[in-house]
Amino acid sequence: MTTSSSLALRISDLHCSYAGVDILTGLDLDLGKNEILCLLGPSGCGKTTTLKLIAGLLPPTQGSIEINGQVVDNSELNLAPEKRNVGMIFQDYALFPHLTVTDNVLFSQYKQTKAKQKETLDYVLKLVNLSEFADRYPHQLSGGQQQRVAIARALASSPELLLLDEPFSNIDSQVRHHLIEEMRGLLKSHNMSAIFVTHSKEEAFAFADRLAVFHQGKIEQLGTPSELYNQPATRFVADFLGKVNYLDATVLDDYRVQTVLGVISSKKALTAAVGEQKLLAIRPQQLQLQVVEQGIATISRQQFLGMTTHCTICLVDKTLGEGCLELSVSMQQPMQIGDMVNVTVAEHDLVLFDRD
Amino acid sequence: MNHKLAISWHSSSWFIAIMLALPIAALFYQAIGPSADVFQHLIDTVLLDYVQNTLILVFLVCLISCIIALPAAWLIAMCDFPGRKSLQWALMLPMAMPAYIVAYIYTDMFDYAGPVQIALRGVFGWENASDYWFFDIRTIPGAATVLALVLYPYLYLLARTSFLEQSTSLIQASRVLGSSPLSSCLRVSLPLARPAIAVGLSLVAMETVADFATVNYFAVNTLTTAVYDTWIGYGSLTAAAQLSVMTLSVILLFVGLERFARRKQQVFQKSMLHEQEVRYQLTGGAKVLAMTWCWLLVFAGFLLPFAVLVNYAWHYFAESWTAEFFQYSANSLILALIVASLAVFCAVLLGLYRRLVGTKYAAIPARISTMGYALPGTVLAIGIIIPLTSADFLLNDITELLWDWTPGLVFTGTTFALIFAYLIRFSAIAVGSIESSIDKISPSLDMVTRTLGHSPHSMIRKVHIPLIRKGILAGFLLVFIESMKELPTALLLRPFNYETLATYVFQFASDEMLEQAALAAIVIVLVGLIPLIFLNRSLEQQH
Repeated sequence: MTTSSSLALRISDLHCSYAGVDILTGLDLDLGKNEILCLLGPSGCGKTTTLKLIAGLLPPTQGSIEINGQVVDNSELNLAPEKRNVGMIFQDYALFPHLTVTDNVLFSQYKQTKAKQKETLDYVLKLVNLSEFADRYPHQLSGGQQQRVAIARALASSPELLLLDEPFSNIDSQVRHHLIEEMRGLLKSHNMSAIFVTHSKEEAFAFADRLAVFHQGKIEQLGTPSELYNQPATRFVADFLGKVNYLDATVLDDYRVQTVLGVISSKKALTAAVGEQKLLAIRPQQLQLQVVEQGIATISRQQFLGMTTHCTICLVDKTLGEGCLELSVSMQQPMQIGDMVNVTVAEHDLVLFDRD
Repeated sequence: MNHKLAISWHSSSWFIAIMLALPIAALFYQAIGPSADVFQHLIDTVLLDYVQNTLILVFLVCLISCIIALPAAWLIAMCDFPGRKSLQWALMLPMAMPAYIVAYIYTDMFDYAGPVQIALRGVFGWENASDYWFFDIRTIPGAATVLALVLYPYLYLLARTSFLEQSTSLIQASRVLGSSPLSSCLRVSLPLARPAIAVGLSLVAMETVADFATVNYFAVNTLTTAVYDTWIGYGSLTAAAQLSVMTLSVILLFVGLERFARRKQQVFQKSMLHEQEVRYQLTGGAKVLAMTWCWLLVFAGFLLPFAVLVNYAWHYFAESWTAEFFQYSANSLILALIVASLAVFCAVLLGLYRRLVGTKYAAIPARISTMGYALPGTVLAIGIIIPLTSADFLLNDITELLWDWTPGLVFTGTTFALIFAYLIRFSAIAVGSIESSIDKISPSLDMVTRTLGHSPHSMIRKVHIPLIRKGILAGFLLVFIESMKELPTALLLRPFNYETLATYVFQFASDEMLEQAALAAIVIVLVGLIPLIFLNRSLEQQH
């Protein structure tokens, strides 16, 4: 366990309820310095609430929050948001419509000298490439420019922690990836710690160092994006992060399981006991279909989805299992209905869940 | 959509519009004429004072309204404290109080002979007025305070709505960027509410300029009282018309300001998702202060005056419960019913005309007919007298020529003038209410009705009228209520020996005998409460 002073944020046993509904029930979370952590989950799971609790915009009902080693919330204390020195970027950017870009950016700097203000303004506007828009009003800017103003405004007070609430949800999908990369670069080059909330797994994968999948007010799993994608701890995480095929599997030994598609082996030793009935989760990328003369199944239906193909295959040898299977697979070449195929599973660390 | 409409429909729509605009045209026409030196006399003597008084009064009423209404609006919109839900609508109650009744009651209370000064003299042993200083309520600041006490709800209502509609994330952003709740209010909430505040203040200013009874009671001479005095005192219609045009230009200034502010509002109030409302939880001193402030306004603007009225009515019941009371109630009731029915009829006609014709020009009759609402009652009365007097003369000349007989003052000497005036003043309310419910009917309903084989008239009967029934009812009720309350128009235009409840109450208040008309005053206040119930319900639905 790291000491709290080396952390940008430590949340312990955080509870929050609003209008009698429990939104958070005992949240624990640590954020390292210079780390970007993403809170990912469906809407209404409590991730935005967590952000607002950290910013001090909502009072917790129980638990404590420390920012850079300083307690901002516990049973006695609820520090006002203006005293926490956090930056926040809102989903709708929350730019003040009555103020110019300059006044928006300098909103937090009103106590500074004019010279200091000018210096800050020049610096952050240059950072987000908006120097020539300083005198515009927010409604005269495009969505992407508005977002950059919001970033500049948050950075102007050099916050110790940056909170981002669905910052890319109003951006066209064509430029979204470019913006994500740009912003990630910006945060990394300024050694900023950040917490980022989204319901989009693509944004989360691209932006985060570590990922926390939220479910019903709790963190379901925490880890790097590839850890969570490839080794989900629960079926919720597995399903939320992408398409999964579930096959009934019986454990044969430390490395192999028996399924309707035959014996499948794992790179890593399995934790389940021999003979146990489990559910094998396989990502579409690891399942491949090949057209062969003598295959184990025929294709009875297919739906092309780009990266993967959703198809129904019917097993030829009925002794292996019953009838047909619906699978998401990757296909090397186009196939026709009625083609005979073999299914191969790329060797990887198998993920087994308990059956319901 | 292109409909073939009967010529009668076109002509009646334009006829109504022109009739309703006639008095305004007449005012300007009359104002050009020579006024037999009355106007010159006014310029030489008192006109400057009247204009000055009017402007000072408007400024003070707006200032006091801001001071009392804006904190209340912010507290109700942004903070949580005990009683907030009740205060939300209770703060609108003073709107139902006629200002002159409040003026009367406070004068009674704070005068030399009133209970407050008597009590002070008793406590401190002062002998007479020279022993101490006490403010005089019968002054411009006094009138401004009384007017602000009953007019502030306009500002409160608009500012509160504006605060509520501001995106929560803007407030939260300001907090995260280092602003305390108070500084966030000053730097974000208030500037964002500026257009709404401007609209509210324009309304307050318009009502102030239009007020006749309060300033008359306090003997503060403004343009409105000058119009009245010039007509009643000097009998100069032209001078009255000239003063009316002056008053009107002041009003138009505020109307323009209001329009401008409303346009601006659309840029400022970008509709954003309304998140869960998080209010500041007030505790300790702040809580007590907030509650005291809000309840004080309700108390001073409504509860206290109303309690005094009830007390009067209780003690002077025999004097109040008279045949006159019933006679004048009946007069007001019948008048209001006639006006409301006519206004709704005109509004339906104009609204459907616009809908069916659907061109830019078809909206003009409805727009013209709503101009009268901005006219102060006294100004409108002068505008009515001008054409109706001519009409009376013309009629009498003709009958005398033909049959050697004159029917007398058919138009100006009967309730016709009153009904006509009320119709001009209040048809805007009916038009607004009915137009907005017509606009809510999807245009595709018209198209589907026509493709199903119905003529325009059958469509109106079977589709439009049933769908705008609520708007018709609301319009009827609002016009009815305003007609029951209207005072200055009635004072100038009522036939000889004819009283409405409002003129009856005002007469008694002027004669320092409001006690004996307390029941009538209570009826007026209660009628005035009805629209607040509607308003509150529609606000509840919004939020």
